[in-house]
Amino acid sequence: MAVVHARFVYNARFTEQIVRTAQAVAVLERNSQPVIQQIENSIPVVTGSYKRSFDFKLSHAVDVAKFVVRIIIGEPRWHIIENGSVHNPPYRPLMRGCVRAGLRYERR
Amino acid sequence: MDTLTLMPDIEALVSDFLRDQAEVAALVDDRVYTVLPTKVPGGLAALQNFVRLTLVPTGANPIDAPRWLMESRVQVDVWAKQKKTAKTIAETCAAAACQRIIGQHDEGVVTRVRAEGMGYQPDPDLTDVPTPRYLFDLVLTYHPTPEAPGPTSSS
Repeated sequence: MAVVHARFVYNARFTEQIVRTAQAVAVLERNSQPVIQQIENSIPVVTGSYKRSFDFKLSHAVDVAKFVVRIIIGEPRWHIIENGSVHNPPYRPLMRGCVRAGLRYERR
Repeated sequence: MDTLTLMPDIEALVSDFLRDQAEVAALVDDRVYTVLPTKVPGGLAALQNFVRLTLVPTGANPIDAPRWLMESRVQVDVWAKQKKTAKTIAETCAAAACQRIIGQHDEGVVTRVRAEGMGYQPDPDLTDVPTPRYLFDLVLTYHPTPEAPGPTSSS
């Protein structure tokens, strides 16, 4: 057995440097698609005028600086589906999609 | 056969609790609903303010295998004529729940509670002009009352 001396050098920016690598960003890209898919699967509207008039297409953007993926919802009336209204219950497709994708959902 | 123990109706538990709170009753009387009334003179828009509780459709999640301890998310919507009034009612409901709901109730026992995501979201569906509405989630952990007999099935 050989013993190798290695000097430990503390690097306070290690995590930051790691998450900005191309591999880390690729992981974010790869893992965002199933989440978007689950959110789209959780949208309750499959027929009718809501289906025709709402834009339910989602997209995403990776924020490398913050190491987060932003799910972008283009529909300005999404809140009616997500949180309901006086005539609609809260369907919560965003929340349910996140949970179905295995993420922990926190409402802030 | 053994007696079946049913899980508490968490919407009913929270609505009963909020209606019993003097501070909430002072603001909305008994207008804490799980289903909004349909026969209101002048329609819902005629009401000064009201609260609706809705079990969020992720449903109740059993925490333990025998289906005893559950966690549910209940959305609390508060509609009012003014934004400030809606905020006051919502904050009062959240404070009452977070500070007093833990413990024994007719429906069951609440062991943990937290309020999440207080936010302002005007409702475009009630009137022509978006109506002030505050909403937040109550995430509750609860279980049936110990030794409380539920419906029994005959053997």
